[in-house]
Amino acid sequence: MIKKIGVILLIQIILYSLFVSTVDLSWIKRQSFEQSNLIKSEKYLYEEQNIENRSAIIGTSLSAVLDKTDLPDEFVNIAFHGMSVLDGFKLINSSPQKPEKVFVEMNMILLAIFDEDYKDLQTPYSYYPKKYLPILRQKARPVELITSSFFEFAPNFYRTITGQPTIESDEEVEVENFLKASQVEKKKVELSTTARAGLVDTCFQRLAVEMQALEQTGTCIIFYEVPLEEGLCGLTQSNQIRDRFYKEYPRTKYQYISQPSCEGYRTSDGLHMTLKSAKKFTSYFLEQVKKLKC
Amino acid sequence: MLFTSLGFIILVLVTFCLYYLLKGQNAQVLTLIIASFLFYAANYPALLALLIFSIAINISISYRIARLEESVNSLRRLYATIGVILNLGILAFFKYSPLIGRTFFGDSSSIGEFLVSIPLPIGISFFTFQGISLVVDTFRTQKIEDYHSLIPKKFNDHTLNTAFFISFFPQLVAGPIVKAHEFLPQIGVKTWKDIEINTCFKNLTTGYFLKMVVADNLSSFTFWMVYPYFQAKSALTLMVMLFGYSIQIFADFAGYSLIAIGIAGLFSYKLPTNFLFPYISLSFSEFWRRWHISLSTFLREYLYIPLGGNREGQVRTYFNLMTTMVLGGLWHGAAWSYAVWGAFHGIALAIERLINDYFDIKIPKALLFFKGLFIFLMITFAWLLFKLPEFNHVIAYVSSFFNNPNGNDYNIIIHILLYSIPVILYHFFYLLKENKGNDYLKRAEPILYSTMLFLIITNSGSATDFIYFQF
Repeated sequence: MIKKIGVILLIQIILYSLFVSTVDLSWIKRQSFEQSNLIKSEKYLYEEQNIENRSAIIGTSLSAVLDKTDLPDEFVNIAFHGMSVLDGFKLINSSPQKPEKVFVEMNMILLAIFDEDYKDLQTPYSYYPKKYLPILRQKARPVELITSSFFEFAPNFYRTITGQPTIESDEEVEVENFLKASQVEKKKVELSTTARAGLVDTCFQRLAVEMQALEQTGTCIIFYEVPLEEGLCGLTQSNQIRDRFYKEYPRTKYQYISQPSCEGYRTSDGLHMTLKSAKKFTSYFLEQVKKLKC
Repeated sequence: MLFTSLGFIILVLVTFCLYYLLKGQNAQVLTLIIASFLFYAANYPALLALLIFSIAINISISYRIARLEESVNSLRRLYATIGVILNLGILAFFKYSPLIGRTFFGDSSSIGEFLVSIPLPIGISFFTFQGISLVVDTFRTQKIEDYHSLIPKKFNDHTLNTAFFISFFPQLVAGPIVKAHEFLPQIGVKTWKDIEINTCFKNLTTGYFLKMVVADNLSSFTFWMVYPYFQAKSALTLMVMLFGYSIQIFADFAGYSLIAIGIAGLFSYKLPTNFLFPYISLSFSEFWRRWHISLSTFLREYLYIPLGGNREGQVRTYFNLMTTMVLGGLWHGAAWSYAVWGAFHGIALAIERLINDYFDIKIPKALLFFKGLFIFLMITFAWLLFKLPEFNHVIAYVSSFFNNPNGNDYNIIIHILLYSIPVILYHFFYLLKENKGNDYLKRAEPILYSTMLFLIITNSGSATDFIYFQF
């Protein structure tokens, strides 16, 4: 029986490989955050072209929301939901292709205390099989192919049964508002206190290791800050982190895109910008990029 | 070390080759003990000392019991009692100290802080239960000649056998809980020919499929059941997530058990069946004959029956039932919600028993499906206490069923329903098999297994810990 199973499995793999190599699967997007992160990193590792002449954005979910905006093609956004900037750094450092410029989000640097994620992606036992066998990649998952087809090709049906728009608009994101008040309050308490020195030191030490590796390749590194909810801007911890960045990476040597005034920016849950605000920030960000020297 | 990690696969392959190259029983057993210690020490090497300490206690006490004459039964009983107390003491200290600390001393007092800081060694609930099984089974074995299948005459042989029995890596951290009288007689020289290849293959494929494709993918969507995120979800989304968690916990644990059984089979050892299609149960008592069978039979043999079982009158029977279920609940975790979960099942079993004793209700065959559905819904509802160990979160979840005006999250709903289909089919195929559909299934087996392997390759979720590791 095992031989028979082996033969059928081989046929299934060959047929599916043919399907995956002939059909464009770039439209598959509606997965969980974890899967979205993996799709994004696999795309960077195996599919993105001409990285050497492009810019990468690395950050957390605060910057991941920029995916939905009109970010020009010269930018590759590898900011991950629920992960730290270190994950973006590690992805770039593990890949043979290095971007010309890397934009590093400053806001949530303390998440760098968790630096264990994504190591699987960079180990040879998962890197090479995925490189040569696209059916192993996240975007080729059969179940997501079915669900994405449903969400992509049946918008009318979807609209009928849900009563909701098919693409994520400001209105849809506002659903999360339910949690907003408590989230803002919680974050306010957290950001109003000074972060533990040991924690900050560890995070910056980890950042320094990744920074050093990337700088050796000649990549230009630029730091930027995402606007937060109005009441959360300019609090103790944000200032402490910003000052530490300026100390470790002086403004005379490194370039920064300052945080815009938080006034007028809205978030869906106290932290993440709404689509409208993300678009507004993208315009601001692109304006500032024009002024950069590298 | 996860069963799904590359490190584990290498460990199994190397151990497998070495094991069958070596010819003597002791050499084979020693190979498995070393592999088991490496497996256990992979994450927290320091905790290996506790496992070795537990093994040492059980080696010495069981050997002492076995060497005593039957005539000094009171002394044998004393040693067995000490053995049980020591095993329970280790379990209580490491597992329940944080709960005692939080409940009686508070996190801020120095005693409370100390108790809360005690680490929970992985698999402690499983290996201490196997230690109890060893000392109790040794005590219960009445005839001297029967000792030899459990306790060899030579102390060295006994040491190896016991270390192997308690630490055997496929079942070390999450079961199935193996009883000494079932496992020790199996120890002997094994050759390639002893492997039941087809059975191992089926168990491993189904186990990995349930874990990697069903449970790991569902976990990405049931993640939103965590407080406070669930408060932003609609009633339908909350219900589907709870349903998804019920499927996930089955796929996760049954998957783990099947992998453990399959890997033990590669070394020619048989572990007991742990899950027998529990969601087709038509009663709570049937559910407990099908769910985590190794635990329920352990509790019956080593707790419920020694307490008197159903032999000492009705009141005592209900008391024994409740005690067994509440302690069984607490065995799962150091939080009062687990005790409540156990009590919920205890009450359900008691009501069922009462109805069966006093009323002769015969449900028409056509309505049995609804009875099964009712049982499934009740069991699923009780899983909420597993997912949300804090009571106020459970209450908030239930009240969100009624209070939440938000729209349904169809991304979550559709994914959960899709990933639940294999578990529904898994139970359906069993019913089909039972009802003369075996021939069709036999013919479809190659396609079913190759499809499972195909989905393991192409559609596995992010590797997560097995839910039962925390117990």
